Amino acid sequence: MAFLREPVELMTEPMYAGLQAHAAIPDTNSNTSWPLLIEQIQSDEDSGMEELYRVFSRGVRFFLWRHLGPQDLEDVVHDTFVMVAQAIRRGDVREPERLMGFVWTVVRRQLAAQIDRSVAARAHHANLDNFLPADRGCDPEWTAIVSQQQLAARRLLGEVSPRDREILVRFYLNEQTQAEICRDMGLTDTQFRLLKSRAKARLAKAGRRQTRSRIPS
Amino acid sequence: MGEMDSHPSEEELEQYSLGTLPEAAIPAIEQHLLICAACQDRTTKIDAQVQGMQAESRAIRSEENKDRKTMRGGSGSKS
Repeated sequence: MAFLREPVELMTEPMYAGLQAHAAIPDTNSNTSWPLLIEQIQSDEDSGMEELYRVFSRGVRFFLWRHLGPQDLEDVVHDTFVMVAQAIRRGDVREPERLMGFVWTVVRRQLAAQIDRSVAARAHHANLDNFLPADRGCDPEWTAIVSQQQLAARRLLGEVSPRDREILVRFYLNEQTQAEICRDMGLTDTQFRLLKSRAKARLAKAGRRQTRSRIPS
Repeated sequence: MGEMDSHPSEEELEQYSLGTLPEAAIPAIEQHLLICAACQDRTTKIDAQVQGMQAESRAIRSEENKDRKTMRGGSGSKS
């Protein structure tokens, strides 16, 4: 099989680290007190904004990058925090213990607004060959990782039986629900789960094998 | 819009990545993702695997459709 001889580099940890550098804030899972945080922001204490940024920066970037890609990421992140801080100061967060839900709602609105803008821009630029609407596919690093995962998927789907391949293709293309696939292919839920978990394990193994066999340039 | 006490399972994150997670479950997962770096990283890896599998699955379907057309053409069923 020709593709096995291609010098491929699978999604290695350093590559993920590169993507995660979009969010260079340490793990933010904390026991922050939302009412206290709101109080600090409302009384204009610097520590309030610092804590808000520390807790939510990585997550906000994660969502925005996941849907919009790297284009204008910093600006949109900044705008999101400005909107959250203004809303807190205005007293819009009526239930302080639900601050997380409030930030999540602001992020969702920001995403919707950015996607609307992108759709409008796409319509406006319909005749321009070089126009690329913003999404994660515009990130070359992400595109490379997905291409490498596709090579691992090719290896996997080339090795399994035609029946198992058909099940996986139906599942990943969302052609049918899990229940429909099980019914049509005569599978129990357990058999389906087993096939999926074996497939994922082989995908990971293929990834490791290809990473090891990569010829350093 | 409930918060999650524990991390979402692999299956839930895969459904989220595929866009097949029930709508009612999305707020809790996304609010967890907003503050959990480990699950953000897990989701990014799952997203890459899912997109790789989808791309290859599409390629397989497209190849199958081409083969079907070729077979129809070769069997002399021109109209």
